Amino acid sequence: MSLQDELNALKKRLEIRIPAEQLAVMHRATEELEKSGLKDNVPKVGDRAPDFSLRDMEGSLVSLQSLLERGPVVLSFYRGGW
Amino acid sequence: MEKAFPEIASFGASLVAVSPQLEEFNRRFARERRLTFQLLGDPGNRVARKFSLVFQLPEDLRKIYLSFGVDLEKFNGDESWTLPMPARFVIDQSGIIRSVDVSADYTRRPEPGHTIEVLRCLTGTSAGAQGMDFESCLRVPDRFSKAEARYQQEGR
Repeated sequence: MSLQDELNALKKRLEIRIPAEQLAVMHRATEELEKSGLKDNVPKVGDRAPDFSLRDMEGSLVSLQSLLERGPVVLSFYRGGW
Repeated sequence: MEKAFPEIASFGASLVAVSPQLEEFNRRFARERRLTFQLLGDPGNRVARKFSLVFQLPEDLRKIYLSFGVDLEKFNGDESWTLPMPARFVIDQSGIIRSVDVSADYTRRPEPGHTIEVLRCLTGTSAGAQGMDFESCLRVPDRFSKAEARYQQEGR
């Protein structure tokens, strides 16, 4: 199964357990986000990535520039571990 | 992404994952999932904002999250109830973005195989695309569907 297939299957199993009205709230929020056009302003292929410095889990500052000096960077944004 | 990490690293690329979680929760997450790539903390989504990814949860949705035990005020250490849309960028060494995957729907995630193929073309290491530029390399027929099949067969 591809990752997306696994996610879809998991989503189905989880959503069965969620009351319909809660599901509706969740889906509505996703739709609003789509309609908001926020995605339109996300940097595109060919744009320069904004530089940044953030702390890793040891508390050390890591900059995009320093990572790029060593090779290409796969930069992932996620909501959290929950 | 943990499963894809060794292959990503084999291209000389680094993998970093950014979230607004407090450090203690990032550490817990890394421990539980045995992650070996870097998690970076982005308090208040300051950096995610630069990438236009930040949105605020509506009130009715916050209540639902709380009912699931997800208290973003606690996990993120602020009251904003803001989150980043899930996104993945591949950035080349000159700082230019070469691939973007972003979704308003957090249940849709880009396939790791897709990222691997982008890196393969970026580093010029695709066997089937010798001497091709990046764009042509990506357009090699069935590149991504074959990549998915290979990625699954290898049990990653």
